[in-house]
Amino acid sequence: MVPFVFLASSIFFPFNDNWLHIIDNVLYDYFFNSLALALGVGFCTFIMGTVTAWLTSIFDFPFRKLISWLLLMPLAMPAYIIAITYVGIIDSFGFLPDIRNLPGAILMISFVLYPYVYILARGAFLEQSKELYENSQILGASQLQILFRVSMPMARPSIILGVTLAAMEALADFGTVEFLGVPTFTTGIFRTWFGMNDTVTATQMASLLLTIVFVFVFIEQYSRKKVRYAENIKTQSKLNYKIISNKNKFIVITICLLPLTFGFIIPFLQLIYWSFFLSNEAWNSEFFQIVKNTIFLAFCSAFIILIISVLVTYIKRLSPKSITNKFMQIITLGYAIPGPVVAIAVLIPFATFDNYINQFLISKFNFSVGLIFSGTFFILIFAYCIRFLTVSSRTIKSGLDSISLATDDAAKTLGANTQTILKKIHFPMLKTSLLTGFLIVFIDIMKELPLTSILRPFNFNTLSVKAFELASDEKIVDASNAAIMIVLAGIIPVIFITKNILGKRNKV
Amino acid sequence: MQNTRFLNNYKALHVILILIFTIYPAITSASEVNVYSGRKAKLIKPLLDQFYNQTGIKVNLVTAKSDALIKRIESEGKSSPADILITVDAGRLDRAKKMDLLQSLSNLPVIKKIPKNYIDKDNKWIALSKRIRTIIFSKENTKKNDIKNFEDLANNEWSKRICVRSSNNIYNQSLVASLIANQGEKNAEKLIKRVVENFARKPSGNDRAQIKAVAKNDCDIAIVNHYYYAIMLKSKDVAQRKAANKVGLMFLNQENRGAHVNVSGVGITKYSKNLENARKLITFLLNKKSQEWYATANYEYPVLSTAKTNELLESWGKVILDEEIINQLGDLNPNAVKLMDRVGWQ
Repeated sequence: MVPFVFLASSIFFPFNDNWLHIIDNVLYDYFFNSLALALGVGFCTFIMGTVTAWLTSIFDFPFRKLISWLLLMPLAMPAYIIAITYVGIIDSFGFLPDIRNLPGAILMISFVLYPYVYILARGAFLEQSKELYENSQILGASQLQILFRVSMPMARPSIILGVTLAAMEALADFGTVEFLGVPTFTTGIFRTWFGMNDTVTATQMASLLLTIVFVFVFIEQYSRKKVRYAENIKTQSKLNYKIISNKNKFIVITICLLPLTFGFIIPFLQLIYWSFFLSNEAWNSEFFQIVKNTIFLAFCSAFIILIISVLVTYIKRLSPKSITNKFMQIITLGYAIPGPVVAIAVLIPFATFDNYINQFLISKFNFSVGLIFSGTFFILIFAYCIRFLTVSSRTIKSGLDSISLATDDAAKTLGANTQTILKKIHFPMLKTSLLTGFLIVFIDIMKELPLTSILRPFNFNTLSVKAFELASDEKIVDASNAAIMIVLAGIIPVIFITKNILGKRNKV
Repeated sequence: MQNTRFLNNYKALHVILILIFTIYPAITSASEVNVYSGRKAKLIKPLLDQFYNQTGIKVNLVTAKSDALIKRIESEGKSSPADILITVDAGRLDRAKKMDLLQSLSNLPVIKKIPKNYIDKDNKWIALSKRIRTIIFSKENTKKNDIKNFEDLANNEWSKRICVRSSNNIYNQSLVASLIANQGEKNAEKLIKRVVENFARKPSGNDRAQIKAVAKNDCDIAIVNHYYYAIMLKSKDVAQRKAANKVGLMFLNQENRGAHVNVSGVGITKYSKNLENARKLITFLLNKKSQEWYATANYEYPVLSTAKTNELLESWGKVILDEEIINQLGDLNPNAVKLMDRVGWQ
């Protein structure tokens, strides 16, 4: 909570002349571009994610399993890397359209973020029961009618969640928009901080951004306040994949391959080409140490974040009116705050606290322990929590919401206490959501940059830091090894987790 | 009731974490020096390893954006482990100095060897290498004599012919700051306004992208740092070399104030706990051999006059540099940013 209080408190500092300057000259651009970016990314990820999720969860076609987990892979591509890659490709083929503009930025970011929508929507589609589908068919609905009138409305919380996450991440993006020359709120925040050396105004801008996001999320939540998305009948009978004609198979495969090709295959091949033919970076033991660091850090942090998310979501379910719950609502918006701002917001309180401890120890015992929180992994993992709690807690919440409260009541009547309900009923039913949340956070942390780079302890390097240092130094070619490793390390959990989600439907 | 049990678990987790992380900083060896570096690991780590091999002093390194590191030193206050701050532009060092985060280097013998313009006037920081903002021109469409001074870029003949990256970039900010220092804010604003009107396209991409744009005839001249051109000329990638060979490099204002120059530099933090080691490291970074490595690693110019400049850079001839105002770049940076906002340099 502390970092949010810190951010909010910035509002109480006097507004200085830089605000006038910003309002007069650039605020309109920042606001318009950020809004357009968030809405554009929201729309594109919605289309790409929902369509691919629906096709892969309803129809049977060759390579379905392979395609359905490959569709997740773009998630492991940092957006700025794919932007640089595409500009590189476009530069070598003159006839392609320029992407150094707002639509280009929307496309680039959407290509790597649609998996949020895909994985969540797919999870929701697969959960929908056979009876529901068959009843709709009996009532004479066509495939598309079922999609638009039954499946999609049922999956609305999941789809909206995916779209929101993508839009929030787009808002907080710096590297991609900066490279493509689109001034947004986030580039403005850094311009004010780095360029004008005005941290106060920069934090105030971040608070404003957060407020806008809060309003949007609030409106969406309010609009479905009265609706609970739980199926009353949960049966084990899952839908069988539909068999379709060869022509349709071809169409389905083509549609699924589109986002996959642009978001993953093309940039990945380009990276491999760079890595093998042009890179000066060696695949040595130092490099593999960095790989180990990255995976270890991401795994531990994702695990801790997952545990905290479960707690947070349960507090909400068990006592929705409590104050803790209201606080949690705010905390889970951390995803829309640009990383470096989160970094200062956690750094300043913890460092101040550390200094108090040291002063106390020195005055009493003439002994100093150094920075207990702010110079260690503690602060880094804490900052990850602030930023990524949104992802995992909302993923788990959307899963939990689909379990009706009647189930809990039934269990209670049978004498089960809260913990038993969690262990015996919720946990098995939430497996998909838990794994999904873990996967997204794990991959996000692997490619996370600003927090890791600013808050890490001495001599601790990760793949994303290495990739960014090289790429930002205009050595994208040398950055290719690190970028490839991020993708490869992302594949392992993707395969493992999609196996678990995939096991759900039987082929006819 | 059940809620509190969850909360207790949560607390237990915190206690465990705290215990783990308390032990961590305690395991540190005696002879070491801690470096916060805004310069990329690849361009400094090998030198720090050499320092360790020669002296046995272990160098601990964190790299990140200079601004973030300065903020980190500020908030860590007296407990900050940082001994040394390295940044890649003079403005940032100046900022750290103004925030009272650095201490004086005046009794460090090595600074006598460095030209005075490359040392802070209060001896709080010292430059390590020079980077020059230059003009890249298309060999096809432009002659070297068409342009002599930065001021020429405001002329109508360059309408829709100039490429440059975004004004978020520190290189452009300090370029504009140098113009303010030389001509005053009003004149600089008039000048930059006209230059911006001559841009061939909306600023995007990095410095290399601007060089490629000139090679592709998207524009005829570009404003870039000299080393990107050098790196492209020496690249393993045929396409990059080809692009670099289509263009030429020239230095501006050679008959008056000199070309705009910025520096990467170093300072010792106010609360340094390994002061002797920090001083040794700076002395090491400024010896002839280190200077040659440090500069060549990124095709920069060394600050130590006895250190050899890289052959390629040497072949470009002697350059006159706008050195006297380096000390003012930091102060003027916010003015430069606002000026660029006002004239619409995105």
